[in-house]
Amino acid sequence: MLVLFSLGLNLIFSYLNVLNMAHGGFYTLGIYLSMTLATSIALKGLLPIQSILLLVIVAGGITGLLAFIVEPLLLRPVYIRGHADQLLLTYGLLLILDDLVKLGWGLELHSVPAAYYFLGTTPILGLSFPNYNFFLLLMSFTLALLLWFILYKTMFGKTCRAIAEHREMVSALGVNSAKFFTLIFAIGVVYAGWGGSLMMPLSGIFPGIGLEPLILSFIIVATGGLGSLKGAVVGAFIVGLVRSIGIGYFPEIELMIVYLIMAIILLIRPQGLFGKREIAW
Amino acid sequence: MVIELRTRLTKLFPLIILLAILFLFPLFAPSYQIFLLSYALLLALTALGYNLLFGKAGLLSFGHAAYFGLGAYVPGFLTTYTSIRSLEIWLILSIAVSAIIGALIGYVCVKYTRIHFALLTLAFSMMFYSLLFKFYDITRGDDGLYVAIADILGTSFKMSKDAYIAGPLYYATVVIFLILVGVGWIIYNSPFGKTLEAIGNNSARVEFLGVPVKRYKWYAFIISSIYGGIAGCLFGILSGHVSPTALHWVFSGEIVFMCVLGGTRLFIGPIVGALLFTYIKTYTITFTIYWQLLFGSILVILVLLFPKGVLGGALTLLRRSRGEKVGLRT
Repeated sequence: MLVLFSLGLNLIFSYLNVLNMAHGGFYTLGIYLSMTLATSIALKGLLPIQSILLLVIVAGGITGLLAFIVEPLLLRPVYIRGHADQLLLTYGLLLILDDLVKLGWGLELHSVPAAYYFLGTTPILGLSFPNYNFFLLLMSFTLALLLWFILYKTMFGKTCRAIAEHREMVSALGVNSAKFFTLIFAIGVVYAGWGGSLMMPLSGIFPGIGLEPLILSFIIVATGGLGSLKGAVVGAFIVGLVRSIGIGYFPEIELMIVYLIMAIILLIRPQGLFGKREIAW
Repeated sequence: MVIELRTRLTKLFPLIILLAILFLFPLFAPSYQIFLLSYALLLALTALGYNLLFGKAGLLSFGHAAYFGLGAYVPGFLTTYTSIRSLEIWLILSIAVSAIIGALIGYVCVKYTRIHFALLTLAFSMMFYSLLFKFYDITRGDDGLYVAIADILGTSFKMSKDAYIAGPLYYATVVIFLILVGVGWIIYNSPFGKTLEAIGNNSARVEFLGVPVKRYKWYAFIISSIYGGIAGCLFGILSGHVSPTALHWVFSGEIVFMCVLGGTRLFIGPIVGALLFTYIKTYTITFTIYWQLLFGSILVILVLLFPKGVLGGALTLLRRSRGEKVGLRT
C-alpha cells in the first residue's frame, strides 16, 4: 500500500515539482469512500473479491475527480512560486480535506474487516497469513506496473515526460501542457485513493488517518529519491522491512531507525538512492 | 530639538501603551486569560526565532517543534529526576540543550536547500519525537512528564498554580519576552541579519561576495533553536506538563503557519501571527471541532492572495489607498 501512496506522491513531485502534503488527505478520502461503498455493496450480496475490485476502482476514481477541481484552481497559481508556498498550500489543503472527512463521516472510529475474513488465510511455516495480504501485494504490484506502462509505453506518458523535460518546447509543439499537469496530478491522487481503499479492510478508520502514511511516504520518497518511481518502490520496501524487523526485535527505536536511515541516506546522497542530482541552488 | 523629541514620543506612544497593557494585564484579567496570553507570547517567541531562518534566510524547516519540545522536556526531566527547582537553571539548561542539538542538526542540514532541507529537519525532529514517545521507562511516553512550579530568582512560591501563573510566571514570561524581542530586533537589523536576508534572496550572489553562506545559515539555525528552547522551557512550566506532541511535526507546521499568517517579511509579523493563531484557535475550538477547516482555508487564501501575510497585505492596501507606489517589498 505504501508503494501506491509513495508512487502517487513521487509522480506529482517529479512532473509538477510540488511536494503534495494533501496526499494524506486524499488517502483518507479514499478510505472513507471505499468504506461507504463497501457497506452499501455488501448489502446487495456481491462476491467479496469482485466487490473489492470494484471498490478500489470506484473509490480511487472519485478521489481522482477531486483533483480536477484542486489542481487548476489552487495549485496552478503557485507553480512559479517557491517550494515553501507550495508546501504551505498543500498543507492547508490537507487540513481542509481532513475536516471535510470529519464533516461527512463524523468522528467515530470505524472498521470494516469483511474482506479480510472472506478471503480466508493461508498457513505458511506454521503462521497463518490472511489471504487479503497477498491480494494487497498483488494489487500494489499490478498498479505499480500499470503506472510504469502508462508513463513509458504510451503516447500520453511520453508527452508527460517531455513536458517535465522542457515545458515551453512542448507547448510550442501545440500540446496543452496545463491539461497534462491536471491529468498527472489526478493520476497521483488516484494512486493515493487506491492506497487508501486497499488498506480500508485492514486498518481502523478515523479522521486524520492519512498523516501516518504521509510521513512514512516522505521518508520513502526521500530515501528512494525524490522524483524517481523506482526509488519509491525500493524505498517502500526498505521502510516496510525495517519497520517489521524493528517491531520484532527492538520496538523502542523502530521508528527512530527509520528516520535515522533516511537522515543517513540523505546525508550521503541528498538526491536519494535513485534520484537525479539537483544543482545546489 | 523639542519637536524632534515630540515626534519621537508620538512614535513611541503606541509601544508604551502596549507595554503598559502587558504589565497591568494580570490586575484586571481572569486567570485563564493570563494563561492564554502567556501561551501566545511563548509561541510568538518561537515564531520570531523561527522567522530568522524562514523569513530571512529562506530556509523552510519542518522540524522546529523539536527545539521547543526539547526545551520543554528539560524542566520535565529535572522535576522528575532531580530536586533542582530554579527557573534560571532550567532556562540555562534548556538553552544549552537546544543550542547543542540545534548546532549538531543545523550543521548537517544547512548544507542542503529547499525541499531537502525541509525533509531533513522533519526527519531529525521526528527522530526525537519517536525517542521520547517510545522510551516509556524514562520519558513516560505519551503520558508525558509532570513539571513542578519553579523558583524565580531564588524565591520559592507557596501558592496555587493559578496564582503562580497569573503572578510570578507571567511577569517572568513578559520580561523574557521583551528581552528576546529586543535581542531579536538587534539581530534582525544587524549586518548579520541583513546578510541573512541577502542569502534568502540570492545565496549564490552572496557566496560570490565572499560571505561564508553556510556558516551564516548555521548561526541562524542555532539562534532560532535557542529561541524555541527558551519558549519551550517556559511553556513546560506554564502547562505543568510536557508530552511528545510538543515535538510533533504538526506543531512544526503550526509554527510555519504563524509566520505566514503574520507575514514573514516584517519583524513583528511572526509575533502578530502567533497571537492571532492562538486566539483564533482557542476560540474556534470552543464552538466547533472543525477548526482545521478554517485554518486550512485561511492558509490557502493567504498563500494564493496575500503571500505577505495579514500585516503585509494590510500594509500594501494602506499604501495603495494613499496612492503610494507599492514595490515588491513591504
